Amino acid sequence: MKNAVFVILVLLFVPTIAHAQVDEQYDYARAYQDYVFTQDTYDSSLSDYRLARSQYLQAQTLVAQTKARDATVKMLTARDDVIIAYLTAIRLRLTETEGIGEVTRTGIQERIDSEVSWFRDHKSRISSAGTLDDLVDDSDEANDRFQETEKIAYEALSLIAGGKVDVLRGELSSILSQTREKSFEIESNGDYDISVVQRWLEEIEQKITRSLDKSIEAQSLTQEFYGKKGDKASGRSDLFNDVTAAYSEAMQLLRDGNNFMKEILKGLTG
Amino acid sequence: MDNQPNQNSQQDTAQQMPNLQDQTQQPTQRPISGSQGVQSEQATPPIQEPLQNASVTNTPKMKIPKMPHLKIPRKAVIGAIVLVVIFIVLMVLLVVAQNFMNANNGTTGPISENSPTPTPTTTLGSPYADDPDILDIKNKVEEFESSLNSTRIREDTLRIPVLEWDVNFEN
Repeated sequence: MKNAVFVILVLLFVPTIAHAQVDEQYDYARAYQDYVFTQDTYDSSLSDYRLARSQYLQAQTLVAQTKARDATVKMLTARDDVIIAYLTAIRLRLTETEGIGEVTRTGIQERIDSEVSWFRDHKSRISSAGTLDDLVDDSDEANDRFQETEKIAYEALSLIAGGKVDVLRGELSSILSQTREKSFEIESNGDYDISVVQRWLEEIEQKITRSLDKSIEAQSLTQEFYGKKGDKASGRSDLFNDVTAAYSEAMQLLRDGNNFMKEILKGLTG
Repeated sequence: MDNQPNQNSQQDTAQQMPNLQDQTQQPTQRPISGSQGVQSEQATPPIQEPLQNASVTNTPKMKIPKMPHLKIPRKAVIGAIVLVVIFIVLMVLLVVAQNFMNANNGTTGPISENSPTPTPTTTLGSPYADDPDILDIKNKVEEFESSLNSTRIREDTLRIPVLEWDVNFEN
């Protein structure tokens, strides 16, 4: 009798739990948690690999070789998992970031998907590797592929940065348009000298234009990830620093424009 | 006959000199001249010669003349104090009466409208200080500023992962 009640309760609750899990969206926050988890797993497997490797190099026995092989397989698998989780997190971050054109977003996400597929396939091939040398070749293959993956990742991060600045620029442009319309209304009323305000609005317009120029500069730098500068990891890192610096300048110009706007409003309401 | 009384009188006057000086309040060396001398001769004619002899034997003392001691009558002081007290009491009564009158009229203090000093005029603000469109723009600017402050260009959590690529089994 007790067992029957338990079974009925389980049958009642299991579909509810399952339904709740399906409803939960796999968003960036969850993807990031998975990424952090895979990193922890990878760090642990890397430590095991280093220990097994040094023991094998010292002992040179079959047992040590087998242990080194197992540890290497785990480490390579975990490494692929980290890359897959990382790319997935970037993909979802791209989805959630506003200001990125749909065509651009779709294009970069397709390339990310391609990388994810490659590393999944690579991961499935690792366990079938026979010898330590095969595992070394397998690792080198992933390393070569990751050079391209890193370029795509840097491009995606640059697009995310550009999208944020574009959204901010759009907001300031909207505020500027609204203020300009109001200034025309005030001018037609003739009860307030708006000429100075209108001149200052032009200054804000210039700030927005210069911010756009900086964003275009950053976008052109992004293309260099696939050029000579992007061949080396250090070059890619330096290039990404240049890209983010250009976007930071673009954002600073928007900040200046907003400060001008605050000054204008202070005059109008003072 | 004439000299005897004079001698007696000289002795008497010699003895009486200090008293005389006290009365006249004048030093003995001072020459007597003019009408004062005549008067003293008339009043005490035989005094002059023995006065010189007396000066030899008894040196006269210099005495500083005393200031006349002014005495204010006590009644006058009391009267003045009474007058001052009466004046203060009258003033207090006047103020109280004025306040009482103001309270009855419904006013508690001086009326600012009748003040002779002009009140400072405040400058009028912008006619668009409370304009709804301007306030809307102001809110948007504040929201935009908070967006600017919260935006991070770099995705610090999505940095390229640091991975071990140097996999080999050679010493």
